[in-house]
Amino acid sequence: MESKYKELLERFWEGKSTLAEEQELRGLAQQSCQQYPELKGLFHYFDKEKEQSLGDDFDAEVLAQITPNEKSATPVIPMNQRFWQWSRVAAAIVALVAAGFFYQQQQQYAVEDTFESPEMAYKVLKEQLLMVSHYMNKGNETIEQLNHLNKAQEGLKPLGQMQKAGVSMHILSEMNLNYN
Amino acid sequence: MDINRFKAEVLPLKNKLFRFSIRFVRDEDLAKDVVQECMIKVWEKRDEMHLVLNIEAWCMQLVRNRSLDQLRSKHVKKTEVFEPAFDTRKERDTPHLVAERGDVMERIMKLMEELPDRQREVMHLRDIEGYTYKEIADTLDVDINLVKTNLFRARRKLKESLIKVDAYGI
Repeated sequence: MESKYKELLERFWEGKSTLAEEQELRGLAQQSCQQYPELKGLFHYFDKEKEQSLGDDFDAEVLAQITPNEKSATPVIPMNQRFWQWSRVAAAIVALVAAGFFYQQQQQYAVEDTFESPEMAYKVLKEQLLMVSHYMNKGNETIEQLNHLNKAQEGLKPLGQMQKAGVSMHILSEMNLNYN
Repeated sequence: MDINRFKAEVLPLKNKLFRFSIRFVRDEDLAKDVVQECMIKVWEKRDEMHLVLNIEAWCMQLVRNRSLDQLRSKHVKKTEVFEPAFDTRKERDTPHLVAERGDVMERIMKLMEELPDRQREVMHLRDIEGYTYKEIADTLDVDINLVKTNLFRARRKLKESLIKVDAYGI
């Protein structure tokens, strides 16, 4: 047993052992660990390393990422003739329903009455119109004030005389030139 | 490749790919992202899958390249991947032996980290994943003799370090 172990170990260190021999050596090292703790430690290290793994959630994550691609790669769009025929019918029904709805709305609006007697309605209407005329008169007063601007224009007329003075001055300046 | 084949042949590789990526990026979350990206890439290339002779080796190559890209693209924080104390409750060995083994494990971890990249990945595929020389050569896309040489060097380094420490009785 011991000699076999030593032989295998030698082949292992030389890098000449086969996988089967290495497996055998592992088994032997487990049994006779007293003499070679470092070797048992080495194999223990290899075993521990091999225990590192990814959980099942990893599979789910990967599959979730690749499955949508699979779907988009083969898109199925149901657009046959029957669909178009029925879509025309559906559009006609929608149009009719919409027209009916609006017609009904219009009817309701026209038929509705606010007051029960015509006298009452006349009275309220008169009040409303009076109010409107009152506000319009108020607006007119404000506009009349603007007419004062015309008076201001009249006041500015004497200033026009200044222009005539300017012309006379021009004649004077010409005289000046002639004199020179 | 359809979804069923993907589930049967690619998804079960997740743990091998995950461990292989950790070897490079030394971060579990990052390794998980790398594996996920690679799985999606495999799915995107499913139409070319008939050209691939060895799906496992191809996936391992993808993960290796992506992990190295990650390392290059940004400074990856070196985190403690392993639990500092290993769970030894099930062991029937004496506390002294358990403590000693814990010490040995720590040394082995450090030795593995110090190995050159090529030797480390060969040793990982051989001693942790149990690959044959041929499978390792396919995965790393190198000559089979180079695999043997690297494995020999890696083991020799481990042996020397372990025995040297033992001889000094540290």
